[in-house]
Amino acid sequence: MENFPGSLIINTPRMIHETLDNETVVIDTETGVYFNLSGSGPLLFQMLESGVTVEALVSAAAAACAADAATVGPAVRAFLSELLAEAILREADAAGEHTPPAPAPGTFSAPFSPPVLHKFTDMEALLLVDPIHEVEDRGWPYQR
Amino acid sequence: MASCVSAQQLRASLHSGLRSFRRAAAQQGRAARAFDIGGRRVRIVAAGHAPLAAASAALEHLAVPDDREADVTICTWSGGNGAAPAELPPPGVYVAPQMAVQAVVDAEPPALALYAGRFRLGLWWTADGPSPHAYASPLRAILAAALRPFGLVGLHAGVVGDAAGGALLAGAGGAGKSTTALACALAGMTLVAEDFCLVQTHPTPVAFSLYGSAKLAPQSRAWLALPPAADTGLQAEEKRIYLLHRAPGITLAGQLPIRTVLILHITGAPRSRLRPAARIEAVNALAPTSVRLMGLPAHAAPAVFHGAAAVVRQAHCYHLDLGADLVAAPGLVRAAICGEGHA
Repeated sequence: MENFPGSLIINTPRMIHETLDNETVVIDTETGVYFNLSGSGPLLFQMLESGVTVEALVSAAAAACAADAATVGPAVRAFLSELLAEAILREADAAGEHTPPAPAPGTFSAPFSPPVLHKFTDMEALLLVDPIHEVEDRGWPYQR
Repeated sequence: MASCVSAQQLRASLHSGLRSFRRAAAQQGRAARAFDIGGRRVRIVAAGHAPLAAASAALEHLAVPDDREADVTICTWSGGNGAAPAELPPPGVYVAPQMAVQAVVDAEPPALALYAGRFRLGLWWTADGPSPHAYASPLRAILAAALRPFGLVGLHAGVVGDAAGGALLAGAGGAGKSTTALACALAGMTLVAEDFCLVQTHPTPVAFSLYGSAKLAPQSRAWLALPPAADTGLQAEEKRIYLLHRAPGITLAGQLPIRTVLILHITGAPRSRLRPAARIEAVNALAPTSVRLMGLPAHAAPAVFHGAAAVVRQAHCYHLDLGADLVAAPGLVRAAICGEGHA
């Protein structure tokens, strides 16, 4: 089982996202890769807008669909592992547990629908050809 | 060792660029024109008439009298040696958010496109005049950056319509945006954009014209048979460039309200058809390419992304599967605009 950081949070500002009709689009502004989240993915993603521990997230998801943590836990953890691997999530700066906001009514119904992450790489090549260099006073590339 | 580019160097590029422009203008004279782009007045000031003609050919349909203060000013000049800005970063894309400056430096051919937001000033220098791509879509990065503070976001999409409103044509490169847009225009619909447009999302989504040009691959040229008067003779890779304000029978408009987003697909089917699309599919088709092509500086990517999503939320969304019967496309686009799309 993966060891997760204490609290997880969406990796902003690198990741930008929108949710439409219970599906979420996430764009990685550094790589051009974009993702769609479906199933219970958008709901879980909404809960990750503030730092939240894996245990609290699993408990909230289970409560929202009237299931138990043992049922939803593996799928949620696998989903979080995927999001971490893609840098969509990072460790939250603030330590400690956080109670995720309650899901909006009607956005999450039983039975539990496993979260799914779809990855699209068709824009990746376009970005890699023409990377954007953000310059500051210390310059780019940074002198060592 | 790689050279170091700092925010100060970008500032130096701005000042050296201005000095170079003023020198060139002193030698060749100044020429200026104004354009209404997205309801904003953009003034292009050139050193000599040739750079002005090159920068404004694709904007001709948006020309207005140059009789009042501009919202944005863009200085353009060309030439090598003494005309080149003295201090240029190596080729690349640079942004200095804290200074509101962005610069795109090209090597082949040599060029600088710089925008300083605090001064609402753009600089566009080319060593030998613009490339064919730049002639068809001039000042794209500068205009996208300059007009974003006015609530306009750039999208990679075509736009056509009629009295009932407009359709945003979305899809990957090669999906048929240009061909569909021009087929609709030749069938009597109004054309706002072939490839890039600006949108205002509030209170309701409106698409604004950016360029009156079109780039067509050989097969599309054969199908569409645009009037020879619109043919510039210029090639951008394998695509021929047309200036549509020169085409009799094609109606260009500065804006249209957006009623529908169409995700284009070229199929091998005999017949074209409309079918409903999920909004997330429309965002997938619109947002990533728009963020990349119209989202400079990088911190402006969210505005483009959220703008695309805002448009999709307020429009009917369909897949337009393009078959062998290209003549059917305008009718299907009209149906989608009226919310009557079906399989």
